[in-house]
Amino acid sequence: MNDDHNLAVIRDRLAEARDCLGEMPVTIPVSQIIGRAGRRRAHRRLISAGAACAVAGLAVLAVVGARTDAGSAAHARAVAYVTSRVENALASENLVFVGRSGSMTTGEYVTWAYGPRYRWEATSNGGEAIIPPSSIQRWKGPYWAQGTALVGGKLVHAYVTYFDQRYSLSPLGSRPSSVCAKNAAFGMAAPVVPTTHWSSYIDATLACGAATVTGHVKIDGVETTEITGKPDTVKLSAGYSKVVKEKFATARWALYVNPVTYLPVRMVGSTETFGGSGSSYTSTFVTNVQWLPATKANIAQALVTIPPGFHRFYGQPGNQ
Amino acid sequence: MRVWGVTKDQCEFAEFYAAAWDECLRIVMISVGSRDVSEDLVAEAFTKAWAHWPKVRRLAAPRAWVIRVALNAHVSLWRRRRREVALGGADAAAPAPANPVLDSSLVAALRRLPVRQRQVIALRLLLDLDTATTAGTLGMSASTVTSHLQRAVAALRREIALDDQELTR
Repeated sequence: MNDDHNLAVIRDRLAEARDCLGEMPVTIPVSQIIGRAGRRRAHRRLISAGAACAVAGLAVLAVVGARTDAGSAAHARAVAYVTSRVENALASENLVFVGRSGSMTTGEYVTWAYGPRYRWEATSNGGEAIIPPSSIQRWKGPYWAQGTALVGGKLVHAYVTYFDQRYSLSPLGSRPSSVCAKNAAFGMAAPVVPTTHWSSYIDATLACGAATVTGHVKIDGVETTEITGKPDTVKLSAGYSKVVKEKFATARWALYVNPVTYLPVRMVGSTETFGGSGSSYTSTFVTNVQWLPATKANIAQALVTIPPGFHRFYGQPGNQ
Repeated sequence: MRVWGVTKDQCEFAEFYAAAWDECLRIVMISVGSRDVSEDLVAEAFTKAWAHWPKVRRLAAPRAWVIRVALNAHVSLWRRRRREVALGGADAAAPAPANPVLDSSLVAALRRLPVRQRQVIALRLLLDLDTATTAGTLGMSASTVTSHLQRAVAALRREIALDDQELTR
């Protein structure tokens, strides 16, 4: 047996061993790999900045003498400086969510969101609009908005109806950390922003089985991962059931996310009511998402403002 | 539609990651044995690949770079573990789960080779790279690659001969 023959046999047998191992699907999302590298870079910056501050702190201490109080204050300032630098670096990755939703039945919606702030606005271009509660009117421009408003420096939930110049305020509720919670799928079936931390929200939703990765789709030339939620059905309350003449509602949703960042590119959701004497009805939303830089102007769009002269309504916002 | 905040580099890296993960993991597993350890090593290597993506993306064989980094990390892990065992006297690494493919005498012999020879085998025979690309990736001359390959083949030849004897019995 010569060397070439040995080489060929070894190559074949190792290749056979490699192929016998079977498929090795990706178990760690690429976002985690990128995130890990980013955290390490931030950590290294923190260490080097900390070392620089420590040197500067030592120099200051040498000048003013060994005054412990001054030293600890300088150290605290140095830590605060370094921490704020790192926080700013991380905050610079923040983006403003802008979702534009079209619906066959209920007009158009625009949603702006940044951190805990959001504004969800319904607009009609002059056609018929369903004005709550269930009356149909002709209207041009925004006819209602809901989301967060700053009142006395505090974020609260606000609901504004432009057609009758009224608004209501209520405390800000907490948002679910995933779609795993009961009825959370209904939040995904409407054109709202369910979370401020998309990556962990999607991870947790996939982990509990409330959704699965169902494929890869190109949207406007951008490769996306399709995540489809498990349909969720609820029995409607007696009052609502009487209004819509149906007994049940089923929510369905799908997200198309960027495989690198887990940020959504498109959201599709629908709610179907059925099981009663009315004809089964499905409302469907398709929300196309843009991510804009967190400029002052863009962040301001994520707040509901109450126009001067509007009257406050005290009661359930839905009854406004 | 334009997706703000997602760079071209990130998309390119994500594509590379999705396409190369399987092959890199298999090759590292053959050299290392344990799937869990191999996954950690390959993930670590991809993390480094992303950290140096502007450089790595220009290489002739980015996969080879990932495999080389993973196998180097395995040596570091082994050294660290050996030091910990020497100091603590316990807590040795758990044995790799039994796997007929990974426990074959040839693969076991491959794992006993020095790391440079294993890297050459992985790149030249399993990744099918030519001598020049292997040399470029490992930062050695082409003649050193050939020499490592000859030594590795000589060491593994005995295992093939034993296997063949068993087959003819």
